[in-house]
Amino acid sequence: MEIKLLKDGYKNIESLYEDFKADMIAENEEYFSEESVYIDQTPSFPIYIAKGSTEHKKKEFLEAFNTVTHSYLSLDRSILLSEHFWHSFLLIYKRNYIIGKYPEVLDNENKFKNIVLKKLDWENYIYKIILGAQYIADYINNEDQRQRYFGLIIDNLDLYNYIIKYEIFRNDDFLINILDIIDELGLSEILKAKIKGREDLGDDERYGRRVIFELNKSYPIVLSPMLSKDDLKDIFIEYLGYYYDVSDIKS
Amino acid sequence: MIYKKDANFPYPILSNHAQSYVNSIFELDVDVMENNDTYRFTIKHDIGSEFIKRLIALNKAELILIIQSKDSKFYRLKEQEIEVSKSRVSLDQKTSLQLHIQALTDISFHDNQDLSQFYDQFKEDIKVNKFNLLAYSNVVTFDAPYQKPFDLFEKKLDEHMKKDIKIEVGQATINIYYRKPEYQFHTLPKSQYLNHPYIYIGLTKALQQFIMNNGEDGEVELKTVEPVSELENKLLDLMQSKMIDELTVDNIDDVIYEITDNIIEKYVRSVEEMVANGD
Repeated sequence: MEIKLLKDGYKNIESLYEDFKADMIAENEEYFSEESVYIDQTPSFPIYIAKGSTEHKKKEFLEAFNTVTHSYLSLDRSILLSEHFWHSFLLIYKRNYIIGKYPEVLDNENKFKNIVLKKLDWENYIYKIILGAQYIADYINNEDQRQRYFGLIIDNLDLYNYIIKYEIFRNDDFLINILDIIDELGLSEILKAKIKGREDLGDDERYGRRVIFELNKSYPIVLSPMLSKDDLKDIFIEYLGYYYDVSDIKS
Repeated sequence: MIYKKDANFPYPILSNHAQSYVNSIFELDVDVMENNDTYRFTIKHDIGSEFIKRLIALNKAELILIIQSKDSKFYRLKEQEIEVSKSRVSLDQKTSLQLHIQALTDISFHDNQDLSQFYDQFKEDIKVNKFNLLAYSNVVTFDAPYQKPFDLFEKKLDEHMKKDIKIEVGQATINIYYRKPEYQFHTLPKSQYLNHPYIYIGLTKALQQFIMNNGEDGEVELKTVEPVSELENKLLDLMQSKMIDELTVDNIDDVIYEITDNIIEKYVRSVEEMVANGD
């Protein structure tokens, strides 16, 4: 179907929120540019996964990963990672879904902005889902394995967020290697734990984040995104050792 | 990460900025072509050190191409050309490319004859570890937006014509003359799309003329032609950027499909939509 794109500057139109609530955007030519894109399938999927139990969030993430994998990954990147496209798509074509699933967007404009008009970067759930789905689906063909890797991302979300925050680590090989290493060594719980007794570090420092921080610091002298899993594993354990007693971790 | 800063490395590095090598050159040049689904990058590079070149030839070091646009893609560069699906990379002003050279084993610099004099005293002791960076090139970016087929057209009004419309192949553009302003559908939404059939006719005429002027037996090998007019040069650039090698009287429609962005589909959808809306 055709997805009409909003006019540049749509975010600054004062009446946008009121018109969204009153369902008056789609009717109003004033909001639209001349541009549009065509996409075959437009199924809905969770775009905001911050509330509810761990089990609930896990279910929502899996649904989102699978829907995006099946219906959106063949789009050109210039559309798939365009904030302009997603905001237009959500505001005009997914209003009912959003209001049904996230009724709080009607309560106040901040919630609306945080759920619907959020910047498309690593903090946005759509962005997290697209990159994760693409990286896993491109490399893992077996359906059961795909579900396992999606599960690994969800179980290690804090670290995943930290990985895609850095541009260099936003990379399929690297993500899969890191997930494999965590899984093989059973490091998930350690990596998400807060670091205690290190006053020199920030308030909410976690072991996993520090390992990624160290990998970032040593780049490009050590080209970690290009390393094989086993080579990366040695370095991973070495860097974890700066903060945690790794003598019990077998490499 | 694309590496722009002049960082301090604990060992000599080859780049266009550093002074570690006598011939401190690592130049990257990239050509990009595209069709509807993929980009094809053609990579040319110039390495100013025989020592580094030899390491690559001996498989002790390798060239890595980094394409950074939204995320980072790393490619071990075995061939000069790399094809990437448009669903996996997008090209815009923020896209940048760089070559790195990575050591594949521990490398001693004792017989590196290309280092600047400064290192003569102690290059015996310099050792670069496996997986470390040996060299990084300049960064190639894509500032200029791609040429769009519509830059090929000029729309004009000529109320004195006897005919309603005239489509003429000019020196620099394809000119569409309308006798009345409303023939351009300018009062209707999506008027741009409604004019696509004229665009199609204009391209057909221009490509036919291109074949007449440049071809033999109705065929043109694009890599050998040297067109004379500005319009033909634009068409040639456009076709080559879309990886088209040959233009013939039989493949004109295929060529138009490749060099334009779904113009007929957009036209059809606009009409359907107007009918649906009762406009």
